[in-house]
Amino acid sequence: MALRNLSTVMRGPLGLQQAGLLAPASACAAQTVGAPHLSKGGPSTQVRNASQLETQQKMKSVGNIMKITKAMKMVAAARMKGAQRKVEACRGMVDPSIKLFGDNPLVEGKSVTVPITSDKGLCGGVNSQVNRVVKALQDVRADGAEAPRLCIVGDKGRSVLTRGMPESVDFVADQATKQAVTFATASAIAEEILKTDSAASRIVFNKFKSAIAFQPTVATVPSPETIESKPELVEKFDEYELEGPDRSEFLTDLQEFNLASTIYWGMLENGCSEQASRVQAMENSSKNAEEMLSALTIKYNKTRQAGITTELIEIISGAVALEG
Amino acid sequence: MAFLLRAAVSQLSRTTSGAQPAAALRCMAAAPFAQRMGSVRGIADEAKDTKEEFLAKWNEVAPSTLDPPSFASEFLEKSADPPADGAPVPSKLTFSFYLPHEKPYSSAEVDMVLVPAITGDFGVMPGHVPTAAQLRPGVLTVQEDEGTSKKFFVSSGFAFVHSDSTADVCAVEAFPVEDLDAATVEAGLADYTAKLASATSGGDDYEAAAAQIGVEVYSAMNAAITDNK
Repeated sequence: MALRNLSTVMRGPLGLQQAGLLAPASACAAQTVGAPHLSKGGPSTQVRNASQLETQQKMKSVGNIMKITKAMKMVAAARMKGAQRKVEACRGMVDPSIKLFGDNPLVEGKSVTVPITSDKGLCGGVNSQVNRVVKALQDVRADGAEAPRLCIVGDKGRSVLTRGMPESVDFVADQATKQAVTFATASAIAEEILKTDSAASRIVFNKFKSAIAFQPTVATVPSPETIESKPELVEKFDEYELEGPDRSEFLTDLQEFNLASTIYWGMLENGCSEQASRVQAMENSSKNAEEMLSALTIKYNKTRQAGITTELIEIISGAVALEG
Repeated sequence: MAFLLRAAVSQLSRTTSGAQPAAALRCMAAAPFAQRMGSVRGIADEAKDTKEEFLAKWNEVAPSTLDPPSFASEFLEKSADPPADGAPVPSKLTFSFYLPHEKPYSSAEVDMVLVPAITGDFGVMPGHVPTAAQLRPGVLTVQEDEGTSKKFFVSSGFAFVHSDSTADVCAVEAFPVEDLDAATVEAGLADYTAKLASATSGGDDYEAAAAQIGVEVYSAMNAAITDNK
């Protein structure tokens, strides 16, 4: 290959500005990688070829990564659209109960923290945000209350929280998002949480505000006993005529329903935030890969051109030496 | 959980062609949304929230680099000012119907809503006394205005009527009564009646309870179809 290129150079009057030298990297690549030719002899050419080869391999792998991250970004964007529709349809189910019973995140007595995280990674900072809030939440409780138990949803929460506070973890529900999240999924998780018999459950998730903004949020669901123990809530609830079973059964059923609704809402919001965050993360990855690729391409071309220049100099000086 | 089983059972009895009328219904329900949002309490609700204390405790124990989280109550729809005590009763009821997968009504102005509670049906009109009701599997009728009324089969859930003529219904599963398939309902009812008989004689409490729920829901669906004829 080197000899061939050289002959093209020698023919033209413009020397280096020959089409041969400006062949695209891929054409050169095809020619260089072909055979580890020792035709030009001398260790110097082999060294040049080897570094070109190395740069080429780097370029190839970076190019592949860029393709993968671009594809992942498109998939995540499509999933985010679907998730956004689902989220907007479900918002509001917990509103009536919040209006009725208020929002009491400072829990007294035994409480349960339910962090909602994703199962898959490469989704930016959403999971670390939730994990940090959960760690801080362990201490934010009324004086005298015991440390909250953890009922983790999602693989990414498990890996961090079971390492940090393994004794607080009650159970982990992972692969919950393997199939589309339905109310049944949330109910199954709620049923497990209800077995812990706690005064309140605090569900931590990322609220989807927009494609670039997610806000860690805490949604509290008190137990019937907690509601009955607060006089101002009892007073408010007393205003309402009860059409249903007796008061305690009504409250139990209502709070079971609310726990399932809140978990469902949290899972949908977090799922949407996860997809949006993945779009951003993959976008950044693709951009970085592109920059790396252009830097590598420049390096490769420089190396290649330097190699050819050196060959030229050798030949010309050899020719001059022969004449002289 | 009971409400989930009821929802699953009712969903199974929908006809496959039910998608179209359901979609048409959604278009109609989506039309006019009231300017007034949400519902309102007479008593100041800040008094019963412990958010301030939470934030105070947070600032004590959490790392300073970590912002405190938001709360679920911050994302409610904005509520209008509570009406003065002597204010006249509004002419229309502000009705919201929440399902996990859609919102057939969201702060829509309607004339009346007929709610199937466990203790019996009751109608909600503007000025209704505040009520909290647990729903049984049955038909929810929404009278939007003179002549237009829509019927939904509701699997179970809760209904709240607030003091400012707003009503919220939260259900696990609901769809227009027209979507019910008579043949499937008959078959299901027979099936669950048989299961109930075998479970009660067998002595398995859980199976008996599940079969009881199945019978309850299918009977309600049967009644809904008959009433709708």
